[in-house]
Amino acid sequence: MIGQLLITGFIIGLVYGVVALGFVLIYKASGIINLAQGQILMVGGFLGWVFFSQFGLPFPLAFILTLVASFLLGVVIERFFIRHLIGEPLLAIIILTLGLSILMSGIAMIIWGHEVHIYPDFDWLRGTISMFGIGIDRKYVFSFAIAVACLFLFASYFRYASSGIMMRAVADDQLAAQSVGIPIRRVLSNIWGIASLTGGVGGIVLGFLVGVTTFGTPAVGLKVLPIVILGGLESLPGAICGGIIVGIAEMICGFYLDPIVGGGTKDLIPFVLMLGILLFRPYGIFGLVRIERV
Amino acid sequence: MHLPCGTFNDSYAKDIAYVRTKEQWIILVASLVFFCILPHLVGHYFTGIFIQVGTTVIIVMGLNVLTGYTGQISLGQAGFAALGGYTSAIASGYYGVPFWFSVPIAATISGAIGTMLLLPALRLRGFYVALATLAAQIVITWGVIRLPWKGAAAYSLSSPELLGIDFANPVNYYYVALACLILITFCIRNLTRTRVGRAWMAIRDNDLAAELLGINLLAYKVSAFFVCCFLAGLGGALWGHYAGSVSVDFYGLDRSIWYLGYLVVGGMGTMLGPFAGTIFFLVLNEVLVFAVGAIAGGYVAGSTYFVLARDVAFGAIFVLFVLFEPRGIAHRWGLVRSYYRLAPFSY
Repeated sequence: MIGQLLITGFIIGLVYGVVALGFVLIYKASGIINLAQGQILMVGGFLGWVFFSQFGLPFPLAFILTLVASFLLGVVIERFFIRHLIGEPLLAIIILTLGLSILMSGIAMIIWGHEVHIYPDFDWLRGTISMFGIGIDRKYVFSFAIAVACLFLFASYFRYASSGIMMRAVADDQLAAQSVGIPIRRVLSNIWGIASLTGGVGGIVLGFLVGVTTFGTPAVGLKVLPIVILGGLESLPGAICGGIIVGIAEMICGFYLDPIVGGGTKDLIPFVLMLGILLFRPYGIFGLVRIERV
Repeated sequence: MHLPCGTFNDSYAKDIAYVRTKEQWIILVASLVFFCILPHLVGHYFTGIFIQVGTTVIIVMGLNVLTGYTGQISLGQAGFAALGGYTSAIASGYYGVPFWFSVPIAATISGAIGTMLLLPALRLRGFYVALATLAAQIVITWGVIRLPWKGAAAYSLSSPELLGIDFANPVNYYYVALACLILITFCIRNLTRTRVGRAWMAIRDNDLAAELLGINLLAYKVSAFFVCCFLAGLGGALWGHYAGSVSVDFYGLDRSIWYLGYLVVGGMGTMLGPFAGTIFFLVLNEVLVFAVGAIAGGYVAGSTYFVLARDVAFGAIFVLFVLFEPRGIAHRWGLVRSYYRLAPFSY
């Protein structure tokens, strides 16, 4: 049992990590805290549902279309809202992204309503696979494949593509990047696109695993915050590690504590973890140590 | 404060007085009389809305102390209000504590528990404080529906009774809420211009400089957290006793976000801000109830259409205010006042 919990937790955590990656990217590059990442995740999930289930497109095509649409969503958000906020105080950024999240939730509810939108399975996804003597739901194996493929693609994009290298340069030092002629605005807009794209990936995977809803999926997106605190706000590998830790912790605690306290531990544990981290190691596992003591 | 021509402050008492000129006395007395007879002019429905405005203003004023004056962003105000509501429900429902004691007790306990939950935030600043309060919000709303008394069911609260006056009547309860609001406004206004309030503002403007000036950051942050959670608990308990029941729906994370939005739209770090923001949004809420009701037919508060319209409207207004008037209604009001003070000669 524990083996199965560990593996499913690991896979769920990997998906969380991909979504958290988007948050960290934006924070590193522009210092903007994106509290609407949960809603971007939700919209990504619904777009996937529209393409895959409603239009009945073959999965690879639906997947790519969702990613393109998510990318555009991020670019639009950056262009119309975030660009005005460079240099504004933190509170303005927080309120703006929260306002955006309320707005997106409301609009999504108008379009898609309250129901759980679960993706239709294709044949391969039914049943379990036996690995190391542990039976794992095929949906999880599929999610794992998507998450790992995306991580691999992101890693190589940041390493080899010139626009990816530009993004790393902007994240590292905006002034220096500008002085060597990197178009900061375009890079920032791309970064929002990519961050939103990670939300699209997460949304599709969640759509297969548990379905997308207008109230449940943003709550999953909220878990991005404990993850990035755990991993360190500035660290990309930290986001993945934090995601995996949170995923495993909530699976294990959900299984062993739920019967004792009567359910709901899964949604609590990440935040208890976050309070603990904030108390003892606020810069996270991989973050920069620059928290001032009071 | 702008004084009319020929009015001079020749003593310290005059300098610190709130009500300085004859006109201000007239406005004060007239508005007091107006607010006292107001519930008799409108029906019970609108009196209920006034009570909602009053209790919400108390909650947002607590947030104003923490976020507006001390500069620590809180995403957990509704959670602290939940602490107050549930404590008062349990104290009055299960231990027979009368309303007049259970509400202050609830506010104090809410202040104490809230401050305890925010201990991690004391060492942090900026975004990390917001996250600690967010975690507190989620822990509280998770915890209160698992309390041993009633679990996830809604707690019912008794309405207060004193000297044979039944406060279940909204008109009578309105006076309780009004008295609390006036008292709290007076206290907070005074608090913000004493040493404590100046220390809070110094921490907000530059915490390092404040510490170098000899301000004990820990003590003043704790006091700000306590006042914030105390007022949240007070407002939450007052609303709970009026509504007759508390359930976690009224204290969710979305409410916390709204409270922060009310404050920002009203204007942070001003006395006017919590009033302006809360009244603006609750009036908008009622307008939406009527508008959606007129379109969809019937009374719609709580229906899906209404929730959609409200979410979209609130979200859009938060975004627009941050982009175009980040200093809120209070700032805009100040501009209008200073314009009309000099009009038609602007120089």
